[in-house]
Amino acid sequence: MLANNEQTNPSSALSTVSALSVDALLEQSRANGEPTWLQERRAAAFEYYRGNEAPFWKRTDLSKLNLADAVPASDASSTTVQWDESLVAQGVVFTTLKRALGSHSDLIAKYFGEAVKYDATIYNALHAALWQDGVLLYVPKNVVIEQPLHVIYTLSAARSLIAPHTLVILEQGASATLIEEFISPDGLEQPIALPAAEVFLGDAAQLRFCSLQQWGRGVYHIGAQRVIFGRDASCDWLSVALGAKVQHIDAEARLGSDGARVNWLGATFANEEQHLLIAPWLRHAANSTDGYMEFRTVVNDKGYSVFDGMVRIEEDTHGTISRLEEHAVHLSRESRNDSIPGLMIDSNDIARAGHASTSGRIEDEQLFYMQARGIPKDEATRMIVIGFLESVISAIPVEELRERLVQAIEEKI
Amino acid sequence: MATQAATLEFDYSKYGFRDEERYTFKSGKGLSEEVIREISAMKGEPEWMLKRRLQAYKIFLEKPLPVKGTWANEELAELDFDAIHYYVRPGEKVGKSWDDVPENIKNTFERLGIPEAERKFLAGVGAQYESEVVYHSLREEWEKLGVIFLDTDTAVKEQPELVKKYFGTIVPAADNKFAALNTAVWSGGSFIYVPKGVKVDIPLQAYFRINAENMGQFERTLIIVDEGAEAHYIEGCTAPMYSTNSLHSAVVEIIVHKGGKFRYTTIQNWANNIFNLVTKRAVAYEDAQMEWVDGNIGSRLTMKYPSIYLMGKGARGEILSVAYAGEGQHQDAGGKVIHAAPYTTSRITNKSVSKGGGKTTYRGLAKIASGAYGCKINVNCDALILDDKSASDTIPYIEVEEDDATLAHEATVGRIGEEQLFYLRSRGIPEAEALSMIVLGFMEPFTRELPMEYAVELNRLIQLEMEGSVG
Repeated sequence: MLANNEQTNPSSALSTVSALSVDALLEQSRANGEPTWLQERRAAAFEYYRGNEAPFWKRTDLSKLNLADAVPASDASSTTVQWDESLVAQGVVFTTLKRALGSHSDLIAKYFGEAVKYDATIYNALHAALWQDGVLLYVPKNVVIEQPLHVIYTLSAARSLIAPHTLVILEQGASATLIEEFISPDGLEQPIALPAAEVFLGDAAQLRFCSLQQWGRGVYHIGAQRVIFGRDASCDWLSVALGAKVQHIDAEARLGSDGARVNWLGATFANEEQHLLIAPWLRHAANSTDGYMEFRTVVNDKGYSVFDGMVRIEEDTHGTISRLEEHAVHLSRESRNDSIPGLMIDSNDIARAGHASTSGRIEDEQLFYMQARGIPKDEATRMIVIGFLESVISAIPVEELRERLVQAIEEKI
Repeated sequence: MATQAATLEFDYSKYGFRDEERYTFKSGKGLSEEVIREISAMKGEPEWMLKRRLQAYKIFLEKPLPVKGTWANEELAELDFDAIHYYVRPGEKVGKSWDDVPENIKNTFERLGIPEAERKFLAGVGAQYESEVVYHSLREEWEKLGVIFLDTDTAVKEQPELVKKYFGTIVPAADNKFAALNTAVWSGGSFIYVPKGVKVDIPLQAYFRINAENMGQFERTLIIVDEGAEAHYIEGCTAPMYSTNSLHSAVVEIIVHKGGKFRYTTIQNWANNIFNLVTKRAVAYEDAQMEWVDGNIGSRLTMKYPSIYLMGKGARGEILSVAYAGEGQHQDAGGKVIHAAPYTTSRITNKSVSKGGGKTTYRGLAKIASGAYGCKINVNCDALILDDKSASDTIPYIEVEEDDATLAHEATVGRIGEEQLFYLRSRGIPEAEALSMIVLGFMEPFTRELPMEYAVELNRLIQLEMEGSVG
């Protein structure tokens, strides 16, 4: 596997968010040689950000978020892509979004912002106005890629802001695995990430999509993710959240074509004073779609996690199968987990729909059993927690990544 | 079950009739400080209650309608507060014997079968017509044991210490806009006190009737179950159908002291033009047991989430609710349990059926507060959608702030299976009847908790609603 750390042309650095203007944004966009459509969209998104209030989120505390003094990235230097470049021969594109603008401007213009709308929240708007980092994965018709493709986003300075955009387009019958990672050192003062991921799957396309949030402490992560399905398309989606100070992710699998299928696993571990929220939606908007969601949550210390999930079955759909589950384990008295597993159902011709949610702590008997076999209590707890998250961990396609995650989890227990 | 279904014939005009309006007082439409002072003066209330009303009115004006935010329902915007009569007085005093009740009102309740029910199996009965309780009785044997069963207006005068001590402590006026409205204009409702150790083993019943158009009924119920005492209270609600909306906005406060046991059963069958926005809340202390049995069949929009605060070690709570939403109806119901003490347990069971464009929503909260270790919660929600015009939402909120707790929530949504229908039809049961049998079977965990007469009544209502559901 080759590693290549791409650097785009440095351009004039932007000032803080509060000092930004539409003119300054346009000037930077022109200086970077961006196409007109993109200049216009950045301007429109920024106007929206300026003209609208922050949304009211009851379970995400953004009272200490200082967006005004954050300094947005001026290039894509926080994006690293790793892949086997010989795939170029099959027509596969995997490169930073900024570089791809030079070669695939029309393709990007067609899809960018189609699934994650800039006018949904001011954070989406700021993302669309400011994005520099990002990646384009394009897989042509019937091309099947075995090796995982890997994009890593990093934050390295206090008060810096990145808005990385992961854009994935799989043509009919294409197949790929994409790992998206967020990594930064601990202890930086309030870096901000406003990421977005848009995934478009053609008919019968198959994607394995792993989104691994492992920011250092202090990071605010406010993100949006959408996967749009073609007919009989399928996605194995993995959402892991271990890092950051505050996380708010609005994610949706939009099963809008007949026969689409998603298998969505998630693991969240909040400890110390982390506050991690994910709001995953399964939207069934076509016939015979199949959705399965299983999130596993661990909370320790004063960690607070929120699972605000939803199964939505729209009118005039038939034969839907849907299941949503969340299971939480508490490791400390002060930890907190909120679970809101919703169902909104407007069709009666469904095959199955349901949800389940459980919450508890590690059973004394389990611990006792292991201690009776000479395993110290701490070690037994670690083993039980890793076992609890095993179904999620084992779905990560790269061994080295699995080991790194297990290590990160063990450190949190 | 087949025989039962076949023999039940039901006449809906039993509830749908309306009486001629002959009131001793009817306030104008809309609400003002004047109206509140008038209500209070007419009732001859003490000054402290008037003060409470006026404070609450201020809160009502300040609070926004909860159409945006977490517990939102946009249909509330249809409600016109200025088009409502806030106080309608049907007669001069509360009848102690059935003969004292004015003739026309007596006829109403006789048509609804109240005196008959009282004779048969009730310990006491209260009947409220519009704003005022018109009839109240309690069997002598319970009166002797110190049980108090009054309308709340009379209780303010006769039991001022108890009322003052508990009124507004469980549902303060500032709790929500409708609790504020109720506190400002409340009238009628039941006041029950069961003394230490007294076990009232047959139900107490209240019956609520709205007759006038654009009427607002705001009863206020306060129930205190003292240490080791037990009781069961049942309320039923009906109204005739008008083309414009009426509002029913009650507040129910319940205190179950140490070791006490209380069950509150509601069969709500309001007409389909009634907004039913009710705040019901109970606290249960050490080893106490509180149960809400809540059936919602009628109304245009119901928003009601009976709640239980488990405040003492070992307290138990149970909420069993069913909802049936037909054409033009939205049953937005559920329940809340808040575990605030260790070793408390609770169970919420919800069953809902939607049909003909109706919508059911289950909203619930299961919360384990920090420090409430050793708790167990079990939540089960099942919804049945009978046709493709109807809808169902399930929105449970679960908040766990304690590690030593066990919580399980499970929900399913489905439709009636072809196989089930085929099975019944192959045994010669017509499709309509088969459908209604399946729905009644689905509701069975609820109906089996009701006294027999009520279970039969509820089954009839559901069958009636189910009529014409095939085709």
